Amino acid sequence: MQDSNFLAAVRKYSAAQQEKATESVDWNERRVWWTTQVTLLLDRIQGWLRPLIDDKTIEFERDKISVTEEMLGQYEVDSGIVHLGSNKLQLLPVASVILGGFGRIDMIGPNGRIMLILIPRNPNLPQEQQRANAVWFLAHPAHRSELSELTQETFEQVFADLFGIE
Amino acid sequence: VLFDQLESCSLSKILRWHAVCSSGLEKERRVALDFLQEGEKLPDYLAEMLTGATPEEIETHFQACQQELDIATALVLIAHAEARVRTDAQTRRNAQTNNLLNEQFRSLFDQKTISWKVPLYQNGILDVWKGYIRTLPDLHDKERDRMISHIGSFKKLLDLRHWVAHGRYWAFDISTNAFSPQLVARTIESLFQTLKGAAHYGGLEDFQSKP
Repeated sequence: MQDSNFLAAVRKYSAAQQEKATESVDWNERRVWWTTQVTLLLDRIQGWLRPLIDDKTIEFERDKISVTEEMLGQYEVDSGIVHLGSNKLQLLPVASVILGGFGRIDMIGPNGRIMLILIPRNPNLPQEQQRANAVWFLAHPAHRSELSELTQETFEQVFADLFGIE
Repeated sequence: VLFDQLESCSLSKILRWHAVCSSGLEKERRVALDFLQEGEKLPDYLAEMLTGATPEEIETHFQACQQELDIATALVLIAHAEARVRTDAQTRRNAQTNNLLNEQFRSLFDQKTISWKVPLYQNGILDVWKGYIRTLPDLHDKERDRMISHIGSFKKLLDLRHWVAHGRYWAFDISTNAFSPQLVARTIESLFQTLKGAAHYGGLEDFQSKP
């Protein structure tokens, strides 16, 4: 590399790094946003299960767990456990910084695991609007591109599958 | 196809292919990690396996891919060695010259109607070589033992070859990390050198191999 090329390349690299730094994510804000999304989702699920909670068919236990992520650091976030008979279904927040979305909660029951992933409903929106546009989708770990939006109906189906309810 | 001509194939050619594939995997790993911060829609080939993956899961996934590539490469290397050893044995069997090794191969191949049914190891081609090495005069015992142990080391690779080629339907109790392509290639190279050496000591036609 000739001297002038070298200097130009280093300057270009430096400019790119500075641009990246100014564009960088506010991870504190992201952590607050993420933990709020988890709480809101657990509230929503608890609402869907309210009739079964009220008649004591199931118990819905809320707790806090500690999660550590490289970008977000260590933080506390809501988690949930549904007790049904002697079995349980865990709702475990895994991480906010994930591929293809803005956060993931795993639902782990006697019959396996399903992932709840926060994904922009419209991927064509500008980058800065995508998080506001994110909604929860269900994905099987073995077929991750087959996503179905989380609704009360799809949740009930997955709930039944994970407990093995016919 | 890269390796369909035995004559032009070699251990180093296979290792170069492995290096290119490893480099491609490394690039894909970096692409996946770059997508983490962007939160963009993933390309389909990443989405199927990695949607929702954390950084640690991405690393684990690509390590597993690398292991699979290493295993596949080990299989190609071992299969190449097998082809070289079998081809050499058939050439000796069909040769006009008479010597102990050629006669042993004739006897071995005449027991089977189809040549590929001749075993490579147990009571097969490599056992003929081991028997031949034991008959070589003027060979120091240490050198003889070393040559026979190199053939034995190759036999251990055949356990991996069978496990992979038959679809891994039984538990394989040796870590696949023990079969890195470089290690496998070295073991095969030692086998080739041993067979070359044995042929040389016996004043026979050279064992044909490519490094």
